[in-house]
Amino acid sequence: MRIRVNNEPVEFKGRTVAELIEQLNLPQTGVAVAVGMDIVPKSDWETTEIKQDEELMIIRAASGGMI
Amino acid sequence: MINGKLTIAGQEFESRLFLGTGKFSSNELMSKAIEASRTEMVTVAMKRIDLANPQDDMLQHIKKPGIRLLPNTSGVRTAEEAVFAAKMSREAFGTEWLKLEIHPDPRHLLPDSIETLKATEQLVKLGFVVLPYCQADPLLCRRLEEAGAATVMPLAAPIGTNRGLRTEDLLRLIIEQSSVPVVVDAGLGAPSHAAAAMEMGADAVLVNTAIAVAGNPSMMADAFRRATIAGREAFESGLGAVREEAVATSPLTDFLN
Repeated sequence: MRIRVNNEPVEFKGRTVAELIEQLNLPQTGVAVAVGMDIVPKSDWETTEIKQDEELMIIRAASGGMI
Repeated sequence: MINGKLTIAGQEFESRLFLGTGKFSSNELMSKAIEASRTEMVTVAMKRIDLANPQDDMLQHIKKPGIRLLPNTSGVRTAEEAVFAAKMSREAFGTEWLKLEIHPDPRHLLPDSIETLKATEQLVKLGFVVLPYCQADPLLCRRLEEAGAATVMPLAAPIGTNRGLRTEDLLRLIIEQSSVPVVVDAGLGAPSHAAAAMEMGADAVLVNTAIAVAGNPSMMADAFRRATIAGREAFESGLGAVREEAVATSPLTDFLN
């Protein structure tokens, strides 16, 4: 299904947040995930399902300062 | 030798120099500067992961024993956005410590006092340890303290300007009244500025640009380290009074007469 991650279109083959993290080859630690404006705690990654056209934000540490 | 340790929210710090991580030309230079500064508190920002380069991780250059990560909310414009960023940061970094910064206008990056106070009130209630970057405004600092801020972090001059203690008179009032640590943040451009802030009685200083853009960042970090210690030692020693007229240091005997 088609979703958007960090404003980029992504063709997602799985179902849950945990599967998306795996598909995108993202690290398991040091990241935070929000679906819309709802933050998904890591303990809920396995059970939180992503729906068609949903917008996700995935963040991690950066230097700085202004982003 | 400095007597008193700095205590923030129950945690003790030997070093009174905090470092920001922006503007370094490489992660390696940043890492060396952090080491040379002997800081125990380093600020980090958050960014959206670049899906094309998902393994790019700057944290590995910072995470060292004895260094506390202090995530900041740089990039947010309102209290509401700050609360969202704080929750994301808690999830990503596993810490409730937060440098709250809300500076919506990119031209001067001055903190929005109203949104900062509002966010501090909300975040403290949510269990965050809030270190707000703020205007050098004694009344605002008092309100932030009453709201439960763990420190106040008034600015010396706008971020990245290297202009030194432009707010000196106000900082003196803040230092005098505060019962939480006062961390002078932003605008400190030279080790002498850091020393002057510490001589005034600031509890700590936060430096980024002056170190990051130096020709030799780790040497500059070491210079700031020593200046911060010297300023603190001078404060703890008790500075002599400033006078208008000369006062002899030797007895003025009349042996030549």
